Amino acid sequence: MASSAPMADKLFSDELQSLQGLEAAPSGEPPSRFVQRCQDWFEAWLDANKHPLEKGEVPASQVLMFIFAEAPDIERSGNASSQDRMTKALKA
Amino acid sequence: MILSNENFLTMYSICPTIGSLDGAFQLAVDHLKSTDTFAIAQLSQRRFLYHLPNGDVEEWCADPTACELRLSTQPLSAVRIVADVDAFHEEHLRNAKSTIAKTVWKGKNYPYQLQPAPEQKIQIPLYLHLRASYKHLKGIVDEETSGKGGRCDIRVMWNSLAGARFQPFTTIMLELKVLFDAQGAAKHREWALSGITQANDYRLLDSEAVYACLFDARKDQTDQMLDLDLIATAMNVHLRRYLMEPPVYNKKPVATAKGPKKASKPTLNKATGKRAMKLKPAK
Repeated sequence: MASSAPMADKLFSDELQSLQGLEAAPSGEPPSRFVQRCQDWFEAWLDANKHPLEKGEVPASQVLMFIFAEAPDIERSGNASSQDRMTKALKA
Repeated sequence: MILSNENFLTMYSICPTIGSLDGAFQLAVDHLKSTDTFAIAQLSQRRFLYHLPNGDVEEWCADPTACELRLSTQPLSAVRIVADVDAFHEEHLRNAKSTIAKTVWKGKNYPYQLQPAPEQKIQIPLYLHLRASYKHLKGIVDEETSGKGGRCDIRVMWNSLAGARFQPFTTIMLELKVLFDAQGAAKHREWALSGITQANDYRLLDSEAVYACLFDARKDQTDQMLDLDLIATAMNVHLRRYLMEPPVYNKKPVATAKGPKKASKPTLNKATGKRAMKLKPAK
């Protein structure tokens, strides 16, 4: 049975502290969430590579491409998806 | 090149090197479909290109939707963000040939017609634009934007500075509504009004301001329903009007694009329309 103990009506300071670092996950439809993740990744990359960027050590032609798959494991193996065909085409 | 799920928990590197942006475009054209979602980070240029479902990949490569990661650390405010929305409209939506506007309009063979769920076509790029502009901006967009009254909004929030009116966060709310002819003239006012009331309804305790953003894609934009200003002011909602110039439509059928004369009749099949568009010289 459910406990009859009353719920604490206030959060302890350590509980509040633990919430400080939390952020909401990206919102929207899956494609929108994916694109937001990519944008977050890019932002983190820019932070991490500040010095090489300032020194001009990152080639202008360097790009990274992200492709969204609901289930990358399946897309990657066996299934004749577009991504899979691409992987094979590149290996050939 | 990375193949990944939506939260990046499962990622595979499926191609070790792409030589250049053109190489990435070529791979996209050769292997991806219009229903695919993908993004390209041009690392040193801080430029982020993204393709959402339902946009022709080849056309996208000729003029990709992009935003620059400016990531400004300047203090945020409702006024500053709305100025950014204004700039976004000016740059990406007002002219039918702009990148985002092209994803909202159906094209030059479909006079005054928009793609389904036009609000959503604006919502995501606008939100991505805002979060690329400011380092400390956070926000939420709805998962269900079609149906259920057509609610489509962006809630933006940021950490308040010490001494600011709202603590610990300040938020603003942008309710987006697109006015277009297929809704029927009688519905425009109702639709705009629903934007105002929804903006008011979703106001939070820490909302610095709430905005109803009307994107006007009607053929006749002369009646701006100025009486709505009074209603909005009474509710303390800021009403913003953003005009969208329609594409220039083919008035006469020509060899390359057999568009209907004036009225929006779905006489063209999709394939014909597409072929006509592809004949346009790439930018």
